[in-house]
This record gives sequence, structure tokens and C-alpha cells, in this order.
Amino acid sequence: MITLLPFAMLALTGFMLLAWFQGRGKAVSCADGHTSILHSLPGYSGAYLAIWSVLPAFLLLAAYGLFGDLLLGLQMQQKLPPDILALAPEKIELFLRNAHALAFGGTASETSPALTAMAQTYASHARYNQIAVMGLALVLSVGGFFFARRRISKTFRARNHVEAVIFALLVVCSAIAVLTTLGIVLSLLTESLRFFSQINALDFIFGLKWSPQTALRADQVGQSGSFGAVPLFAGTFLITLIAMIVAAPVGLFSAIYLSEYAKPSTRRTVKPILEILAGVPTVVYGFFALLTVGPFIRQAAEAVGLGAQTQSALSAGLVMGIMIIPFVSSLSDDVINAVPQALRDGSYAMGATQAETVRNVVFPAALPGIMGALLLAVSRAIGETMIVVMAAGQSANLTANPLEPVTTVTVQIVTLLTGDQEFDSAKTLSAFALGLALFVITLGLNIISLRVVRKYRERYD
Amino acid sequence: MASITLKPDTNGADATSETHKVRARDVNVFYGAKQALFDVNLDISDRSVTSFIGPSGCGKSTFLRCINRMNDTIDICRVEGDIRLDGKDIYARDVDPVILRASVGMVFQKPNPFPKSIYDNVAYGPRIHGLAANAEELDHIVETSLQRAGLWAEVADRLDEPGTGLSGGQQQRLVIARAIAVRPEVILMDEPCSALDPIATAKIEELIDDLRNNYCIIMVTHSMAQAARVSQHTAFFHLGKLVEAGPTGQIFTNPCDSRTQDYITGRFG
Repeated sequence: MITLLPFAMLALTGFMLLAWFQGRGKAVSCADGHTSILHSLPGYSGAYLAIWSVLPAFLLLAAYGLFGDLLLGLQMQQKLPPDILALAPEKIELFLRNAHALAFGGTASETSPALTAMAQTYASHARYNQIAVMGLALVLSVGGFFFARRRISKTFRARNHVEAVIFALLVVCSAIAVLTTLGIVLSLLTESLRFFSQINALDFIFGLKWSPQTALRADQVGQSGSFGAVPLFAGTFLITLIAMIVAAPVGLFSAIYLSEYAKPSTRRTVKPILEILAGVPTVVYGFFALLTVGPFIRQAAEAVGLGAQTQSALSAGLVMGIMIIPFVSSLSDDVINAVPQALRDGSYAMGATQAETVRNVVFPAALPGIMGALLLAVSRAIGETMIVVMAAGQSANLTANPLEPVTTVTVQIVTLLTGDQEFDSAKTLSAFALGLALFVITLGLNIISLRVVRKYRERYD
Repeated sequence: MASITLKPDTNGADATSETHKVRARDVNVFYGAKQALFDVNLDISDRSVTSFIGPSGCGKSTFLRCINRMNDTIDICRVEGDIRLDGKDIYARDVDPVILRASVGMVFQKPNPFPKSIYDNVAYGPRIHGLAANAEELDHIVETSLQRAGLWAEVADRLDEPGTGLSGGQQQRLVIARAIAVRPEVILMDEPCSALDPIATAKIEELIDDLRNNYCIIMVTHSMAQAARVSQHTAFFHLGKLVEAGPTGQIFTNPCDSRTQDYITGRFG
């Protein structure tokens, strides 16, 4: 029903170019060719005219594209035959949906003369709406063109007007980002509230048993469902801890080597190679963990008389740590490089060795940035799913033994929401509660890290 | 170029020929393929202030950085020739540049206190070199160093505040205190006042004048007036060559070389 829209957009673009040249030309002719006496460069007048010619019409068309169907639906509800109006609300909705399908080439579940008539009304209204909107857009466009063209003169401040439009554009873009975030948080919140209306929040936060299989029918036995999230968070933290134990020292030391000790030529080759690690798909790390690291750890553990399984927190954590190394090293390397050379010179001039200089001067000065890099790595580790699914298993064990399989919050969210699910059971809703909890935790981490960084910054700058 | 020997100024500390702290012979410095210094020969007296003057890029800072081997930290830099500190070749194989720098301290153009407390800034060198046996000794070193740098009165009650929070002039005096704390024999100063206002500059100059009783001070400066005020000896560099060196009074009033004359009178540079 909005098939004409692409052509309208194309026409608008052409009109915009035309308006730009017109505006520019008018500004130049106002100045009799001496463009330096204009308040704004001719290009600004062109842009001003182009904006007025196109933006209002564009906004109208965009609004129609977004809300046209809604408007049409409202109009159709006014046009319903009286016998349909008397029906139950869901029947009315079905009737409208079928009419819509008949009119615009969908699959209707039934047909009747009333429906055919309704479909015709639907189609004619859609056509009428479209023509009306197109006409209005044309009027806006032409009107805007002449209105703006009249205003262009020697002293007209086109530059400031264009600036205002750019400002508005920037505000809209950031508003989209903020509103999207807000929307996601709100949907997480509402779904989580539905979950907590079925399951006690305290049981969720402090419960030690995670077994989300609920009974589908009331007479089913044995599948009571238990939503204690502690094992999931414990698993998440265990794996994150192991990953950071691997990634923090290795990443940091390789960053120090690269930035302080390596020759520039070495650095030029090694740094990109290290960054390739970041480009390896996590699924590849996953089967590396499952097929190579997991069996190796099992055999090694059995060799020293410890029971172990192929899927374990240790193998997932180790491989995840390797995945995170380039994050830590690359970011820390940048931060260390940003430490002023004057500080190093000062230390060398005191008779400090390179290692003393790194330990006592460069590292403390780079600490806020390094903390940032580490916390980014932590949030990356917490959010990582694929490696854990493959390498650590899905059984929600509450254990601190890294040789046992564990599961994480993200893995559980995936298993809860994949496959056939009913979307109002506690089982699926628990995914939202887990997501909310994860969100709160990472938000907390971010706030803490900002605080820490700010504190150090006050001390070191 | 013939060797130029500095004669101590008539109003300088003492007049024996034993007081040459630093002797440089045929020093050539290269940055990659580019030669920055050509056959520099210079003797520098102990317990006095020697200024290096000359237009930007003339090699005076490069020569200064040869004396504590700071040029070693630049990969492409190569130093040839013979530089002796108290008669000992500082570029000899058995000399550890790290140890050398403890006895040849350096102060830079821009104050560069470490992002640490005032106390830790001054204690940095003594800690690294193990100069203090215990906490009281370290406190003592910090206090005397700050006193000698003329900063003690201003910071005595806030030693644990960051050194970076001080004003520019205070920071530069902190850096001088930091250099003094490792008990150097020579202090190199690379335009120590060029980032400071006139009042802070006056304080630093006063301090330099005090310090010359105990140290050999070598200072690079762009301010002719400063060289004339503070130093007993002056060396004029131009295009990588040492043009002329001698007692400050003579260089400024009766230079031998027309290039020195031109530079001092502001005709070029």
C-alpha cells in the first residue's frame, strides 16, 4: 500500500538538488556575484532552501510510512457494517484482518460477500489516503520552497538556520539511542515483573537450585520447576574469574612488552597478529575448547588422580581468557603509549632502569585506562555465551570446583528461549528476569569502574 | 676544530685547572644518517653554571643529553667521541648508563613530576638506589632535598598531595629536588624556565645560583639575559658546531667569533 513511497522519495531527492542550486543561485544573484558581502556562503542558502523544500514533506511521508496502516485501521473501524460491529471484539479483529488480507494480497481464512465489500472499502481508502498524503507532501514541498526562497537575501542568516537543523538532527539521533535503551530496559522490567508475579523474587535471587522445567499440565508429576539463580551467577563468576586470571596478566604484560620494549618493527607485526585473535569467531573458540582443551584438561586431571569431565568451567574459562587477551593488550597498549614520554625521561634521568620506570611511573600513570580495559574485558567475559555452551555444559551445578561442568546466565537464557516455547510460562519468563539481573550487575560494574577510574584520575592528574 | 678550554670566570668559585668536571673531545652525534653535532670539544668547570646558547636545532640539547647518556634511549641516535666525567670515559663499556644518570641528574624543559605524591616524587630516586636505610633517613633526604630546592616551606604540610597539583614553578622546583635527592655531581637543565612565568623563573634562577656552590650545573637556555644573569661560563652552538665558549662576561661583551656577536646582538637565530 505504500508502493509509491520509493518514487516519492526519489522525486524528493531530485527536488532537493534542484532547490540547492536554486538557493545558491539566488544568494549569488542577491550579491551581484560578490559573495563575500553575503552573511552566509551561497552553499548555506542552497542547503537552507533544500531543507525547507524537502524536510517537511519527508517528515510527512515518513510519518505516513510509520503510522499509515494504523490510521487506515482506525478509519476501517468506522466503516464496519452494523452486523459485524455487534460481534465480539476478537471476531471484529479477525474480520478486519481478513479484509486487509483480501484487499492487499494476503491469505484470508474465509471469504464472504461482506468481507469482499469491506476489502474494496479498504483498498479504496488506502488509495485515497495515499493520494492525499502525496498531494499534501507536494504542497508542503512547493510551499516550503517558495517560502524559503523569498527569505534568501544578502543579510539572511542561512548559516545559523542550517546549524539549527544539524543540531536537531544530532539531538534526534542521540534520542533514538537513549530511547531504544530505555525501551529495552522497560520491556525487560515488565516481563520480569510478570515472572516475579509467579515466582517469589527472593527464591529467584537466593535460591540454590536451578531447574526451570515446569509442568505443562496440572496433572504432570515431578517437574515442579525451581528458579534459584545462584548457581547460574556462581557459574558466570567462576568462568569470568578463570578467564580474567588468564587474560589480565598475559594481556597486560604483552601490552607492556609491545609498548615499552619491542622495537617499532616488531610492534608493527606483533600487534596486528594479536588483534587477529579478536577476530576469531567465538564458535571457533568453542569447539577448540570442546575438542582440544577439554579432553586435555580431563586427561591431565585424571593423571593426577582428580575426577574431571570434558566439559568444565576450567576449559571454558581458559579459552575465554585467550579470547579476551587482545582486548586487554590492545587497549592497554594504547593507554600505555599515551603516557607522556616526559615522564619516562624523568625516570630514566633519575637513574631508573626500564623495568623500574614501567613499574613505578608508566604503569601507575596508565592505571585508570588499564582498569577500563580490564573492566571492558570482564563485561565481555560475562556476556560471552558460545564458548560456555560448548565447553562448560548446561548443567546448573553450584560448585567452586573448576573441573566440574557449570553453566552461566547467558547460556541459560539461550536454552530457555530456543525451541518451541510458550511465552507466558514461568520458564520462558525467567529468561527476562535473568537478563534483568545480568543488566543490573553489568550496570553496577560499570558504575563502580567509572568511580574507580575517576578516583585514580584525581590522584594522578 | 681546536679544543676550547673554559677558563673559570674571575668572579667564579676557584681558579685551579683541576676543576674541570666534564671534558668532551671530538664528539659527533648522528640521528640515523643526519649528523647533529660536529667535533665538539668542551671542558666544563665544577661548582659553576655553564650555559649553552644558540638558535633552535643547533645541537645544544643533543650535547646536553650526551652527558648523562639520555640519547641512549633514542634508538637511531649514535654518539662518537670521548666524554669524560672526572676523567672517566662515560661511554666506556663498563659504564652502566643507569648508574651514570644517578650522578648526572637532569631537569627538563617542561616540569615532569611523576603522578605521585610530592613525597614519593622526591623519594623516587633514593628508593631506587637504596640511599636510605630506613624511613627516617628517607624522610631526612626528602626534607633536605626540598629545602635545597627552596620548596620545603611551601609543601611541608602537604607532602602526600599529588606533585602534579603544584603550580608550574613549584613543579619545576619539585623536579629539581627530585634530581638533588640522589646526590648527583652534575645537574643538566634543558631550558628549565621556558615554560614558567617571570616570577617562577626568578625563583628558579635564584635556586640555580645557590646550587652552584655544590654542583656542576649545565643549562641550555634560549634567554640571553638568563645566561648572562646565572652562568659563569657560556658556550655558543650553531648548526651543530660549538662556535665559541668562554667566561660569560667575555662571550657577551667581547666575543671572538662574528657569529656569536650576531647571535647575541639578535641579528639572527
